[in-house]
Amino acid sequence: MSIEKIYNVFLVFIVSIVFFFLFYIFLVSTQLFTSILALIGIIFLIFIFDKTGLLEKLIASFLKEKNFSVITVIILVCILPFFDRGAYSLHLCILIFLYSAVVIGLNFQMGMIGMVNFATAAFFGVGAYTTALVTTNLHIPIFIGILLGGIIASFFGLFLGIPTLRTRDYYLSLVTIAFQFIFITLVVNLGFTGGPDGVRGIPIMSIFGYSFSSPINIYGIKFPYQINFYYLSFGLLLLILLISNRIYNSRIGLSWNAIRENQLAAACQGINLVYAKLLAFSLGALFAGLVGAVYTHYITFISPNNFSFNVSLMFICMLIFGGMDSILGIIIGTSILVILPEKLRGLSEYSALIYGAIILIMLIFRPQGLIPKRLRNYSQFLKTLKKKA
Amino acid sequence: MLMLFYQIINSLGESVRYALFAVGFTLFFGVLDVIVFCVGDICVVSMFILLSLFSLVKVIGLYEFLPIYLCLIITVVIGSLLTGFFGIIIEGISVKPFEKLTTKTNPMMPLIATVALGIIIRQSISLFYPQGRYPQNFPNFFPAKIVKLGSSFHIIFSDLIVLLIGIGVIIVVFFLVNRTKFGSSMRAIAQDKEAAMMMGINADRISVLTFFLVGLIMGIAGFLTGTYIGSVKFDMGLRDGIIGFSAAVVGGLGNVYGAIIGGLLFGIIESLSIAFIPMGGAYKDIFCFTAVIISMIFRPKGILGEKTIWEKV
Repeated sequence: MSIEKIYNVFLVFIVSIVFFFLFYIFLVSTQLFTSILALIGIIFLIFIFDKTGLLEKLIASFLKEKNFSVITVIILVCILPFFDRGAYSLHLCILIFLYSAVVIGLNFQMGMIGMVNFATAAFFGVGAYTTALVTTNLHIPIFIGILLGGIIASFFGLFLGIPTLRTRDYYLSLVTIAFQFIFITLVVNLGFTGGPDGVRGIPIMSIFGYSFSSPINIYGIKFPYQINFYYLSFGLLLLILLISNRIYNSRIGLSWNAIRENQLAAACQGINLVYAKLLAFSLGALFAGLVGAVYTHYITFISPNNFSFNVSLMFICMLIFGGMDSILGIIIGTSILVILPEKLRGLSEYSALIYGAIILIMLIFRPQGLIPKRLRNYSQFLKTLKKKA
Repeated sequence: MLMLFYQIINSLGESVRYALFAVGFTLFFGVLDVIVFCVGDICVVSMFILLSLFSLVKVIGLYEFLPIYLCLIITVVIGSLLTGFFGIIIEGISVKPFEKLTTKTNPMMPLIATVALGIIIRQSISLFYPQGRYPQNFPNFFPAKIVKLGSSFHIIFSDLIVLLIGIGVIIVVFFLVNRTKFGSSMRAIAQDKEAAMMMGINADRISVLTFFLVGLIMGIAGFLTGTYIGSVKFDMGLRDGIIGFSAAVVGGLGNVYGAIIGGLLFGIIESLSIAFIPMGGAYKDIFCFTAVIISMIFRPKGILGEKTIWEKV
């Protein structure tokens, strides 16, 4: 056990505890003043670390001690409900996990490749409506409904991508906006989707007969039923994080970043632009659809209002606020943007205005987001080169 | 067949409106290389400005001193000028900060910024204008006559006036872009910004003036929309903006003639889908967007070809 390893482990431990503590206060405190104070503390710490360059060192420490940091974070998240068993805080955490998963899908399209996608809420909605209609009308098991939702959403992603990928990126954004509106119009007007009232009575999630709507009782500590969904959505988020990390470190992720930096140069290197963009698009749509399906089985009632253009903009706002192409930024940005409107209940009318204003302000003053994306680590490759030489 | 013809004539008011939006988008893309998604919202802002001006005029009682059409013209001109200034403000917020291309800025950023700005405009109107959430009535100042052309065909007088004014605006824009020095500067910057700057054209000033011009066009378009449709709602701008962008894309982005043809096409598609397809009214948007997707598959550069910019290698 070298000094460096002890130092890294200690740093990871302390930083995780501090941030979780601040986040816990932000989430749970009923006094507006203390929660805003905790939020300001988090943002202030992030800015200070960024300015002094400590942030990169911290992230490097986390990466060196990968196993330890992952286990620490997972344990901290798992024991969070033991400190606060309120159904409302659990509900907010579930929303954070689900929305982060969607925004990671959006990150493939906007952050890694650089294509703007305004139809995220439509893909979310396709997954949601597919599973809702299939499980209520045809009584297909929930698990299959969720998979079907994801697959059909990804099919729509392909269907949108194919005509537009040979033309300029502006046209793709236009087609995504058009698709968003087509989706809403169809869902409101077609009979079998339930019209503007939506679909109700969707069966709540249940696996092998264990219904997720039953509260859990551990050694006398009672948890509300949301706790099942808490662990489920956390598991889903971990799976999507794993996939996203592997993609980032693979040739596919590298080719996506190359396309973002300079499309022409990437094409000259032999990257097939159309395949790469189609993959990004359909993968992002797949994640949005899967998460939409799980969301439906949690909420058990959906209406077209949940999937409107403003919701797409909310996802884009979370991505831009957190940081394009930085996973940590996405999760922190999503948490802040889910919890903050709940704390400021009085301003709920202004929420769309605030999301738009945040996008504009972040784009003008800090386009890299709260936590900027990190540079790729080529040092391993350079080491092998040096060895050969 | 005659019925088809009459349907098309009836839809010309709508087509001219879409053509005006498309011309706005095309001017922005052609001259400044940005997609400005809030053109429809500028139109809605102009309608609300006109509504306020109309009530102001009613309070002052100006129409007792001057004939009513002179009043109307003065009000519309002042409204358009105010909308032009609003356009300049939009330029300062959403396009100017992104003009310098550094490694931090993505070319898509002005696009996202204008979408966000569109949302801010829409929500601000709904929140801060009195009764902003509900549709407002737009007064129609033209006499409610019906003009008969031919044996069985009538058109409402105010629709005809809307059509004529719209065509007039388009002709004026043509004249401006093709025959004046300002138009030549715009076309020069559209072709090659750096070369134009080397020739002594002030690119920043032309950029601001382009926003002012489109603001003026949208001001008049707002008046025409209000008169044609008769009511204003705060989120009309989103749909109109998207259809305008689609019309510009289908006709060829950057090409003013293409924008007009795109607008005509979309007006025709919309009125045909309402008339000939049962329950078409709710689905008319879908036909328009399907037309965009089809045109992108078969003719991605647009009907008349888009502005060519060479990829900067």
